[in-house]
Amino acid sequence: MHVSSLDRFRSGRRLAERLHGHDTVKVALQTAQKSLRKRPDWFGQVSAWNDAVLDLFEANLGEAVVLSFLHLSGQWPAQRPMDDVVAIGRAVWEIGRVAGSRVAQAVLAEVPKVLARLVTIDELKVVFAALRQLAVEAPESLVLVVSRLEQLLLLTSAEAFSVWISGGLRAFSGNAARRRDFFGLNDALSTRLLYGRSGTGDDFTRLEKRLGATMLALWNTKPRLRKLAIAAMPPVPRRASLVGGLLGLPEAYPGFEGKRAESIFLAASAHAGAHLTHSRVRFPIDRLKPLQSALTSLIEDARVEALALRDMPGLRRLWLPFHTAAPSAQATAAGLMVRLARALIDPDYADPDTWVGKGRALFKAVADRRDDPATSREIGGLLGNDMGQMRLQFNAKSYVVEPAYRDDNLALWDFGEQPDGQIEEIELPVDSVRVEQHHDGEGDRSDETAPPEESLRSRSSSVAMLEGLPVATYPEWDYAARIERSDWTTILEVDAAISSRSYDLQLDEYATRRVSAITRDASIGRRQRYKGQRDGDALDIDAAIALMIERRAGCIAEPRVYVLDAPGPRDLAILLLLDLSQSTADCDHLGRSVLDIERKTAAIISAAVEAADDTIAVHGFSSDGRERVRYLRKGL
Amino acid sequence: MSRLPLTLDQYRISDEPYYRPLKDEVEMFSAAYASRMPVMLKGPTGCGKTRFIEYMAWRLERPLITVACHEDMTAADLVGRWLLDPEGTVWNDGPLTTAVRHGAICYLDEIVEARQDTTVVIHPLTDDRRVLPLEKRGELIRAHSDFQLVISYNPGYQSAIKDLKESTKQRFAALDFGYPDHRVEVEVVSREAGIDARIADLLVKVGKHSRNLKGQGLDEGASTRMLVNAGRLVGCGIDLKEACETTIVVPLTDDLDTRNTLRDVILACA
Repeated sequence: MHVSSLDRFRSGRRLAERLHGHDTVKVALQTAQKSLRKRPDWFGQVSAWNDAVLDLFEANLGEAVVLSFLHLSGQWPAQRPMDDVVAIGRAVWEIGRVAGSRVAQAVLAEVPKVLARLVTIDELKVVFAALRQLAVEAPESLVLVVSRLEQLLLLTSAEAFSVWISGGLRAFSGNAARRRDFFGLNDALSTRLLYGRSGTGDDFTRLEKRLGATMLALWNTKPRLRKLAIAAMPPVPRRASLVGGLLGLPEAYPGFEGKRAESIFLAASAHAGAHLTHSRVRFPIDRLKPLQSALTSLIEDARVEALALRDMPGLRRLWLPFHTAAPSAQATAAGLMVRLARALIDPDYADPDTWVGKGRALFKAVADRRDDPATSREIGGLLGNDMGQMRLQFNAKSYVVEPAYRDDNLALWDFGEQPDGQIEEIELPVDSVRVEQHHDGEGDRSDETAPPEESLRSRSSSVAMLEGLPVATYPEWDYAARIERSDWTTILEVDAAISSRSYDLQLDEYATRRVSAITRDASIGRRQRYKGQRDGDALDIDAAIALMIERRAGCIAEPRVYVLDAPGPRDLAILLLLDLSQSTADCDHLGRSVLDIERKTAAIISAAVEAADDTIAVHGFSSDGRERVRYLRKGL
Repeated sequence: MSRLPLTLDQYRISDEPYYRPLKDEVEMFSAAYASRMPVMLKGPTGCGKTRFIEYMAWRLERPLITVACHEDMTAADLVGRWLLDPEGTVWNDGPLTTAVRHGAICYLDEIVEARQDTTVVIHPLTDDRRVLPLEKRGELIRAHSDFQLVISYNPGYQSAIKDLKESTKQRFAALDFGYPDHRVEVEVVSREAGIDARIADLLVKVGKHSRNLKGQGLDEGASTRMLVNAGRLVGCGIDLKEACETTIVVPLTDDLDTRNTLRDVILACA
């Protein structure tokens, strides 16, 4: 759009005249203008921006709103177009006119927090249009949504957010109380609509096979993949998790749909593969503060990615698009950390912050020790101390690893011995590893004063302690109460450990003999003789005579004159499930334990079936109370 | 009978095939040939076994008769069979018999593909006797002094069903072939495809990662031969990803997920 210099002049003059006598606003205006003038798009947008400021001023929303907008404009990130900030000004003006100054100011306070989630102006417009619609049709609910805007947009895309708002308005158009429940997320329909993501479905299931194969191809390792369902309103967005040799991935990454969903799942599994390959030791959590452990994890993430990029430079194209952090004058601990994460992987990223710069320099300085995980701990500790001195608040309870493709890093830490009996109740264990712990009234304590590692430990919850991922429940009959208790018993899937006591079949003559006998029986199928073939071992005399007679008689016949000797078809697959309960340690009258006999049997059957080129898997189970029925299997 | 080839000239290799020795296999094979010892070439598909035997046949100046073995192959396909013509039955030598009679190197490619009862016909040729009995014709052929038997064998197929009989295996000296190490494979791909070593390096990385999928979606990963094919397309100006798509992704599998995985590998390496 062409804007003449006359327009710019007029709008500027109008604004200056109108602000006459409002010195505070005037000073803020000049500060914002000074900053904006350095931008290349200033001349194209100045007129529209002046108008937006003027409108806000004249809307009687109070000086605080205008000052907030001017402050936001002055701090506007260099890489975001000015169009965006103008659009925000207009939207806030519209919302403010309907909902009042308090809400307008709350919206402006939320904007910097959600900018990273709203990358394009279209996404910004969609969210603000939804908020405007809410302001008009359900002003009583607006503050409920605005106050948790950041959390909502972490969990869902702009489009899905808009669908959720209009869905709630349609469903409860005449009922303000129900609307409050809906927008306060106290309504089942609301959470379903917010996370149901109709149309995209379950990305994990769709991509599972491909992700497993890609892990194997890139890393030559194949952890079993498990789906982590999104809880109704999780405290933090779900991240990938490497627990007990399994890779848990969310069933979907809210806000990532279609091709982007594919990309983030690939990026997440590639990142997990880099950990599995290069994060060979676990750091003792010791007396580390949550901030230090989070920073150590961040550096370790960057370290394993740097190592992976040495061999597979193309992975940078997979990971980089998720690093959208940009310099901002409003420094928060979490904000600086996500900028550092970008600085460590993106060589073209420039960040003026000294802490980020120091992190980058420290990381670069240990480039020749990239194979040593201790460097992550060293740098994490140093940066943690620096950030502590900067008096920046770090809230470990709400902290979530960014960018979204990275895992929760719980697998990097050694939490030491965990006392039993901390888990009092398992809530929704299946498909969701959100296992609730009941804390003892210390929940409100700030994290900086919390005992070391507590936040991380409580976040690890019982996932680490359970040594596996809950995968299913089943009902059990309570013989005392004479009722069937549904979902009573929880199955945890666990990676089977490789025994130090190897079992060599060759040393056991009886076993070898049994294997040979079974293999012989299994491999020799019933052979069949096919007569009258076009090809074969020998002439089929009857057919040959018949053919010659026909030829002599002048007929043209097909020369099917051979006998073929061929084996019949076969197809076999076996799953052997071993009882590994404590009771299998009991011995028979010869002093052999049941478990030993099971081992031997499994070895003989496996050797025989594998020798016959058929498929066999050996799994096991044992239980330790109804909450821990372990199902053991071994990955590759 | 005019059907028998009186000369094996058509089986002679006149131009030197390109072969990059990996270890001492050329010397070993030459020594084995000197005593007409049967040789087994072990290794995955596309790693250079066939190229090696062509090179050796050229070097030793012997004709080379190659038989691609398959599941339906019968002993008659190797030694020969009676055919019917208007006058009655007429004997036709198979490729093995031709090599034995006239003195060529007979190369049975992927021998485990053939059924075990088919391959026992080679036994009398692979010990001191060096004879081939044609039972159906009532003839015993003594092997020509230049004759040598070479088989290739893919260990990936080892199982009770598809394996060489112990009595067959023990008659052969074996040369183990694998995919060359990274540096050598880059050299081979670069030389064979006529491309820059940097591009060859990317292709070899793709090959290495795809081989991790063996038995997990793929029967075999991308062979050196496939990488050479990809390189040749790149040499003709085709984009690297497109070249890999055409010569690696699509030929290796029809499974859409596995194809996507291979594309992920290409993306990660390139």
